[in-house]
Amino acid sequence: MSFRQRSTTLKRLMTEYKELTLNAPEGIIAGPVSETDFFKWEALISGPEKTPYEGGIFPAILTFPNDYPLSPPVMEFTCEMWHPNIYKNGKVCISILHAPGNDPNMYESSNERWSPVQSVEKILLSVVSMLAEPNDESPANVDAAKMYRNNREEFDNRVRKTVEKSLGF
Amino acid sequence: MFDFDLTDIYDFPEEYGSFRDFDNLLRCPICKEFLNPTLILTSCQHYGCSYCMRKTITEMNICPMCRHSADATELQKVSLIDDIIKIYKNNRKIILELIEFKKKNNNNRINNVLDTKQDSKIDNHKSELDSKDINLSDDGDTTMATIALSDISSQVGTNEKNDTFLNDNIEQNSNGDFNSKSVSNNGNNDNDNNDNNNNNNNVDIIDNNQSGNSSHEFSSIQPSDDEFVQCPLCLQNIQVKRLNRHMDLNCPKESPLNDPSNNSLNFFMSSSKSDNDSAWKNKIFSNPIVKPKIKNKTQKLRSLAYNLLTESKLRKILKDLKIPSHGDKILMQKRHAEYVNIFNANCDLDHPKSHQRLVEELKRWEKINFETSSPFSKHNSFPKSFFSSRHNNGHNISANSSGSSQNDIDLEEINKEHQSYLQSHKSDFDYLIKQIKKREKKKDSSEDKETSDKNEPEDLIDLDIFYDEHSHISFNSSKEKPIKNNKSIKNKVVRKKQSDSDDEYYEGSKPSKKARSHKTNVKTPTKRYNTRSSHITLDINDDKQNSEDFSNMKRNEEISNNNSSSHNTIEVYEVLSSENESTEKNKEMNYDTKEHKNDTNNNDNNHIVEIKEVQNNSIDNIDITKKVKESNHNNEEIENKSVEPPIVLSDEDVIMGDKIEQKE
Repeated sequence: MSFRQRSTTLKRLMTEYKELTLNAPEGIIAGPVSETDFFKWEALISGPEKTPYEGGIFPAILTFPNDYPLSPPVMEFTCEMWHPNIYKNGKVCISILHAPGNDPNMYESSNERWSPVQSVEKILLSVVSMLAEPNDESPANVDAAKMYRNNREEFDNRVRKTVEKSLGF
Repeated sequence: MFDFDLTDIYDFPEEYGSFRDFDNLLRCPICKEFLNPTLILTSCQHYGCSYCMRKTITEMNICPMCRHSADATELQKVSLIDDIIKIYKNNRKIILELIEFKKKNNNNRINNVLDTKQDSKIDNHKSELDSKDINLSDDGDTTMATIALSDISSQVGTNEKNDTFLNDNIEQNSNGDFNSKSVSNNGNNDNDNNDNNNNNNNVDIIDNNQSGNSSHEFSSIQPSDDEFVQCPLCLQNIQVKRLNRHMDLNCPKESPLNDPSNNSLNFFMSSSKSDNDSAWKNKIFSNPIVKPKIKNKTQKLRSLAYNLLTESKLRKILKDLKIPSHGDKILMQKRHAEYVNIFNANCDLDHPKSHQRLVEELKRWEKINFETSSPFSKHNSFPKSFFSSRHNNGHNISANSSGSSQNDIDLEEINKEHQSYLQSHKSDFDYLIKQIKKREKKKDSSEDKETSDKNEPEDLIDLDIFYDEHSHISFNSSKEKPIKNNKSIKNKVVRKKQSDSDDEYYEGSKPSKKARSHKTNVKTPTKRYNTRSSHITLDINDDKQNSEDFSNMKRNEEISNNNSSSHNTIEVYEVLSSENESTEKNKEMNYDTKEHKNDTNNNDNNHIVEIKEVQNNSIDNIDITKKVKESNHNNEEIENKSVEPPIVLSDEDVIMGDKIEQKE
């Protein structure tokens, strides 16, 4: 089955790629970094409107495990991000990216977690919604969560700065 | 890069969205492939591939769709969907083609085409149609053809299950063949029948489009007689007109893909295809309801409570299952869980694979998941390292990126090794250079060099690197320390002699890129490969040259002996007079300009190409004025000499070029 598993992983990724290129959701671009390695994708996410992230374009790397879609991919922003649910190194902490087996934070209901029927598109969409509505209850970046809770203005300003940075200003 | 066929719902155009939905329904929501075989969770009615569902449920204990807790025992096979998928898969390509056909030509246009272009053809075909037993527009026959198709598709399925690697290929590629066969077998069984059939199908398509009736779609794909198609049995490429005979003979040149266990099946299939039997056999086996379903009575394996088992007990269980039983408990646990998945998924298949195959799959699974970090690290090592260096963002979490960083390390190690090798063998290389210096004194030294070549393990490229460095070092030292000029001049002289003789050799035998690329460096590696011949050319010069003007210089330098050629003498002279690198550069510039003149002024000269090459290769840095002097020497001799080896011919070219310059 391993051959089958690998080929299914590849097929699945290629299908998803095709799907994303054919009808990509607004504000999301994603695809393999190289045609020879379908296990590493690059994604560009534009910041959702009416949020401090508006106007920004945030590059991220999605790394797929060998047993995808059984295990979720890992997503990391390659630009600087200031968000309660994004680690300082860029790793995204979101329930859809967590396999149901291990719950590191003990707060996520299994309904939001990864399942093999999820897709890259759904991951990216949930990341967009995460940008719009940070979850400050289980922060990955505690400082950002504190700031988000206590001083929203400062948080927004800081976010706008990162947006400017991500655009190269 | 990928050896499988990738189909998805987006094959259908947007306006045929219902086909997309239909296609999507028959696909596993996990792997996005057609369900093979379909399993349904009795508790929530969600379905998926056997393997995907089993794997998910054993790993997560949830239904992948609705996430309610689920157990593998709740899985139930749905063979009806499997049958639907088989037929659908076989006809999918045709549906797509028909959609495309319809898109291109709307109904009116088809009618026009019918009226004008194909009128006569259609008449012919129709008469043929009437003459044949197959009347595809008749409803009864249509069902029979469909039935035959389903029978064949089930046979395809048989084949597929015995060879998972090619299942998609068989299903997709042999599509047309099967259809053509199913139809042809109903009627005339001559090989020529294919031809008629072909035409029949053309008519068929048109009829369909006219009437809007799509009941005969399956017969529209028909390769022409001379076209090569894949034999559905042995997967060889065979001409359509020879396909029947090929299969009747039980696939003469069988590919190694078929293992012995398949042979009996092949025999059965080929015999069922034989011309005489096929018609009635199709009738008998054609009804999908009557079609015997091989009920697999193998007991499914149950997952174990691993926590309750000791390592030795688990090992015994693995041994009893005849699967590898090495490794620690965790590995055995995972292996057993995977084997249970594979085994149970295999049980769901109509035609299960052998135990051996399952074990092979298990081993491959283990290899991918536990031994190598990435499935592609072996195949795509270069592109990956390339990309990892391009996107060097420092996030190396995944299996893939770790593979690429490994490649980087490998490259670094190789470079380090090269460097260390160069350093450790510097003395050897120095020795070799010294030997080359002596070469002009001792004619037989070339043979010594050849023997030393054999002791030299490093390849040419590495040597080149070294010699690049070395030459730089020597020249630099000559710049910095004028007192040591003598030594550096020696090096230079040696260099020039080498390059001359090298290039002479190459010119004699059509100068290659290699020769040119080497010209600016010290030429030892190349030289050593060509020592023999290059030396001979020098000898020719030696005998005829009397270096009078420059011999004193040579003696002063203690480099050349009296036998050395005029070439070399001049070079020595040149080197002496130049004394430093800057003058040499000037000479190069000077020479380059003259070269251009040569090119422009001597277009009629047949040897112009050779001249160029000779100029590029051999006389690189030689001052033109001195070269002219040399040419005077050479010219006389060459004219005296009636038979010249090709090497010297090229010398002549140089001389001719120089002469022309002189005239200017």
